[in-house]
Amino acid sequence: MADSVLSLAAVQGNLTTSVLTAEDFDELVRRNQKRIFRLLMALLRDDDAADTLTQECFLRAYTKRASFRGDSSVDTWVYRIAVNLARDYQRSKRESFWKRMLSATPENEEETPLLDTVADGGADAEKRLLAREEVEQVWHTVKRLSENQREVFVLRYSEEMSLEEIAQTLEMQIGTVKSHLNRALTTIRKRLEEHRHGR
Amino acid sequence: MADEFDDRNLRGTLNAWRESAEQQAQREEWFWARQRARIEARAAQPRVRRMPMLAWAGIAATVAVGVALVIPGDNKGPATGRVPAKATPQITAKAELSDHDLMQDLEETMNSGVPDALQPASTLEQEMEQAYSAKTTKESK
Repeated sequence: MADSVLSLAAVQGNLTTSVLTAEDFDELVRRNQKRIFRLLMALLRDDDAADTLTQECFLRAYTKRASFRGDSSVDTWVYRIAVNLARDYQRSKRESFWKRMLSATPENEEETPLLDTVADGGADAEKRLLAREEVEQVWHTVKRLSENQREVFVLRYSEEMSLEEIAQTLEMQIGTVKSHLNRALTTIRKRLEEHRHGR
Repeated sequence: MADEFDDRNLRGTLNAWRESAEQQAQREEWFWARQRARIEARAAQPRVRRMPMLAWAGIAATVAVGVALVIPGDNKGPATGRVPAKATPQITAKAELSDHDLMQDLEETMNSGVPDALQPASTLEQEMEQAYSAKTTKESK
């Protein structure tokens, strides 16, 4: 990984195109790998897929570094690659799901619940349990959001990106980002209200 | 318990969800180191993949040359490589000459003093000239 295209400044988020040394690329990976993995975990909730796609993300960033246009920061560009990989993965997973369904293979889509153990008795325990259940409801709802709504929601509330950063990452207008975010929040709020009513 | 899930509750739940996302993505340092090593290895992989292709191309070329040598088109058998290096261009040059030029070269060589090794050729030339002149005389009669 000796040859290079991007400058260290580009790796750090500024936009100039000159040289990316092996050390620069290593720095790019070190600085972003945890965030990219977290993003993919939030989008996919699959350890192996998140790990594999994180590797794939940086591999693509490395092999396609010459096509980096410099119209956003390198970090945003890497996030965009990760989101696209997650989309492709989910689409291929959906396709294989239907293939399995058509071949009458049982499909266990349920994930391991986050609620591992019930805490000690008392009011605090009750609150903690409720909080855990609500977090679990958010996860379930996020999974059922539309692709765009899920991506916008995860980038906003997991990665704490600004609306502008999300717009750059997903190559959308800010108005479109706001619209997806509002719909996602409305759906989540509704689900949480239903959950409280149902208790 | 509030019936309505207000903004404050929602904010608190979303914060808890973020912590949950953070917690789920936490790994030991060895995991990150292994992941970096795999990225590096995979980035180097395309170069590794090209090497066998080049090797196969080399092997294919060698086999093709070998086959061409073993199955010659003119039944003369494979080249032996015994021809002296200096002789090769001379033979090639001679091959490009016409019969007339060849005979002229031979004559010049004979006139310049025939080496012992070419004595049979000198004799052959004399015989050929004699035969030619005899034939010419017979035809003219």
